[in-house]
Amino acid sequence: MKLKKRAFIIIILTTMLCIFLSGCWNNRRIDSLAFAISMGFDKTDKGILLTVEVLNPHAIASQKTINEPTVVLYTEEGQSTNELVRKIITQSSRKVNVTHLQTVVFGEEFAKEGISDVLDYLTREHQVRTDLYFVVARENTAYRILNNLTKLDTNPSVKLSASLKASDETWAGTRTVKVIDLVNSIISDGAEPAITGVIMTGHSKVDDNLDDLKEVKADPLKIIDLAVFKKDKLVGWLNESECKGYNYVTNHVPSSMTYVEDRDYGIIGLEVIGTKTKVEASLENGKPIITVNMKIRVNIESATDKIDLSKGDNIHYVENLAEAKLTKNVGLSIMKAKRLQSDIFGFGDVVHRTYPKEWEKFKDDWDKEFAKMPVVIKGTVRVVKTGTISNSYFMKEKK
Amino acid sequence: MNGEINFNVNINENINQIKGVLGNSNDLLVRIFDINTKKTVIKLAILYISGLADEKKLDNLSLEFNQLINSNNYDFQKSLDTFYERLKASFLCSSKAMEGFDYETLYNQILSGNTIILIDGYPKFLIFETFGPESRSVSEPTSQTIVRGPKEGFTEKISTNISQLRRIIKDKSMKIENMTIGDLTKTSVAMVYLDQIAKTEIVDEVRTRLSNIQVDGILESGYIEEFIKDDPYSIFPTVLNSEKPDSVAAGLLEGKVAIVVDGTPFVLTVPAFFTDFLQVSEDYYHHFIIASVVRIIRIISLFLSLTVPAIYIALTTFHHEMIPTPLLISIASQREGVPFPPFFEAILMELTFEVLREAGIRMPRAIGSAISIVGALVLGQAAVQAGIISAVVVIIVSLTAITSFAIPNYSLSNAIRILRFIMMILANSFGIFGLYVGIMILVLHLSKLKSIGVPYLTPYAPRIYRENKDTFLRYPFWKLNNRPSMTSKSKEPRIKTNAPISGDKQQQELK
Repeated sequence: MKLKKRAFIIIILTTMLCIFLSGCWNNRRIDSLAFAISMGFDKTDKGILLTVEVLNPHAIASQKTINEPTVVLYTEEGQSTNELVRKIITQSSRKVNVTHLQTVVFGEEFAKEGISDVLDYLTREHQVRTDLYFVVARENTAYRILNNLTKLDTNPSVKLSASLKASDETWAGTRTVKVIDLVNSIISDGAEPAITGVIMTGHSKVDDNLDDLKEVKADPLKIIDLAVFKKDKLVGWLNESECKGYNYVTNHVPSSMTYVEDRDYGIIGLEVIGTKTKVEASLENGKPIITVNMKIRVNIESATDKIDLSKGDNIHYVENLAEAKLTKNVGLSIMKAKRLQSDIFGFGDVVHRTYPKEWEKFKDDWDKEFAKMPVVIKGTVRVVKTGTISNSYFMKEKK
Repeated sequence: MNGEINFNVNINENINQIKGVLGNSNDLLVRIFDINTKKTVIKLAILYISGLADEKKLDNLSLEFNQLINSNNYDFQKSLDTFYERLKASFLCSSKAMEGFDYETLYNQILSGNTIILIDGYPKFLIFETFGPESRSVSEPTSQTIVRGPKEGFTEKISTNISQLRRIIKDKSMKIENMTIGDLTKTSVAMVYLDQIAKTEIVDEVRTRLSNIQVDGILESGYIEEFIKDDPYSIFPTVLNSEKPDSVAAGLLEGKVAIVVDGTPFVLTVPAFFTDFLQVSEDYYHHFIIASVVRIIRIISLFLSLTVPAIYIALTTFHHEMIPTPLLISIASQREGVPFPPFFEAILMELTFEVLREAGIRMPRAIGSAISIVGALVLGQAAVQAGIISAVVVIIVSLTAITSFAIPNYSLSNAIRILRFIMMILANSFGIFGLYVGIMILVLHLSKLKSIGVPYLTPYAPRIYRENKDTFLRYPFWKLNNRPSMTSKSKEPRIKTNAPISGDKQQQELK
């Protein structure tokens, strides 16, 4: 009985020790951490210039107004990413925590050198979430992109990731990539990665002067264009219409706006409400041919008084115009990719899936094969609705 | 003084001795009078304690006595024996008359508020039940308030409580077993059950447990609860207490055993399951969909009340990546400048709340409002404005407070209240992992518990699919066909109409 009691006390004591001695281990208070919300990578003579944008909770605190920016920038130069992240403690009083990293910005020069080391860090480090977005600073450095204050969202990185997310869903001209897709497309033989670009508009000055924010001007950052990579190196850019073509081929247009132009009917605005793209591969004389079959449903969003939308023929005419524009855009973007010898559409993967045996022949030299390969583009556009009115109100008045 | 037969036959000596034993207290009233018969004069003495005996019953008694004295047709020629028998028989109509012949019975009876009649020169005495102390009238229960349903509650008087149960269940199978527990208080305790439904093993077990209680006094049913509990160290209540006759009657209909204790309006029901503590009698008086939703809300409240502060501590000290970024920004900005770690902050506020709650219950009603002013204004608002506590913690403490009030049973609510602090310590040491282990241990503990030999988590563990109709959800009455098999031996369905009853259907059946 006595032994049992003693054993009981020992168990209780060890449990208490477990609880109280381990209490401080790995215990990181929110207010002792600096939350990095974006990282920028630039190439310098010494190696990497890391720019970390860190939240300044002090300035966000709702009740007091402090004349301080909502974020703080830290830069550090060196060779290894993880070392640089930790080294920021020498400048900041708080340890940098990357659990809430939202965007990673590559400087153009850095992207040309290759981004694989950074991707390795981001996927290996257990703290990093996998839902972060990547952007490439077109003709700019990541530092200059991050060194901006934005409007609406007080926080530049939150703004960047929010507008990336929103534009991905509602605008065909941009494309966001998650870290997993990026790594997958780099290691795949039959596909290459592509990342959205970001530019600075004319307004911005490179300083974080808060007075700048008081002027009624547009945000200094704009998401535009698509950076084309070959393996992990930047090789070229697709412009906006080419980027649209890219998104249509890869079946990535949940919703977008476009227009068709005609000499007689003027400009007719269309809302894309659904796309369905099938990419099929076939072999002809041992050479692959890719057929891109796009089915797009649109609503008419705006029309001029010159077109009578109550007539079926006119609707067909609009559909044909849209089909022509679509195939042209897609053709342009495929041509550009061929010129850059980078199969960002993943046609190689389609060939691989359809002809696994023959793929072995093309695998090693797919870039060149892709540049030569004929691609058949078929587009079908169907007008579903003409909006809440059929003809323009102003049509009658002219009669 | 004690012993059976050696009752002193001399009436004056007897009275003096009784007075002496009871300390010559002036609430013991003694009336001595004579009855004249043709041959002799018989001396009688009436003894009772004034505060305990019911005035009305005494009036009746004296009325009958007067009649007896005045009607001179009593001819006691033979002996005192016949007089005694006649006397005993003639009072049957007014109140229960018993007989006794030793001091022990005499003292017990007189202290229980009964009236004693001593006859000079005769070794037996008569006992009339006149017990009727001042008591509270039946009123609305204060601890279990409802919107719809019977508003009457139990009182402190055991006979009233049993009569309330009798009034609801008018069946001959309702058995009431009386016993007296407590060497000094001699509290009367009644075991109520339905003979044809309640399992014999359970009834026997309860009876044995109750009869084995050896204690000097029982002041409330809580004493009994602690003695008969299966796992005395467990923080979870395994005996249900209720102030409402309708919920006790519902338990009886399911084969449970009710324990009514004199002196308290809280009646115990055993065996009690975990789900019983999350149910209210009102669930059965409202529409079943509403009742089911309300029950789900209660279960969510129970879970939130247990874990919300722990989750806050775990997320803010270990798992920052689990907080959505906008929320993290808002929490981080609020925590800016707060000098304490989240754990200390949360413990401080939770303790403050517990103190406020305790003070609110014990304070005299008149100054109760002062507590709320101090609590809400001074502690809540000022602490946040002074930057000692972050606003999130105030929200979290209020949330736990509200959710803990949504648990209908006070005993369970108290258990959760204590466990919340353990969860907070675990969360501070091991994060979500610690919280998870804590909840796991809790579930294991719950599955180990028993109530009068029946598993506490019935019907989840052991899993009884058919009886899951009245747990998290309340099925409509016409679906609740069977009584819980763990407590009732009767296999007879309790509901004999299968579908909703309509005139058309009955006509069809007739055809």
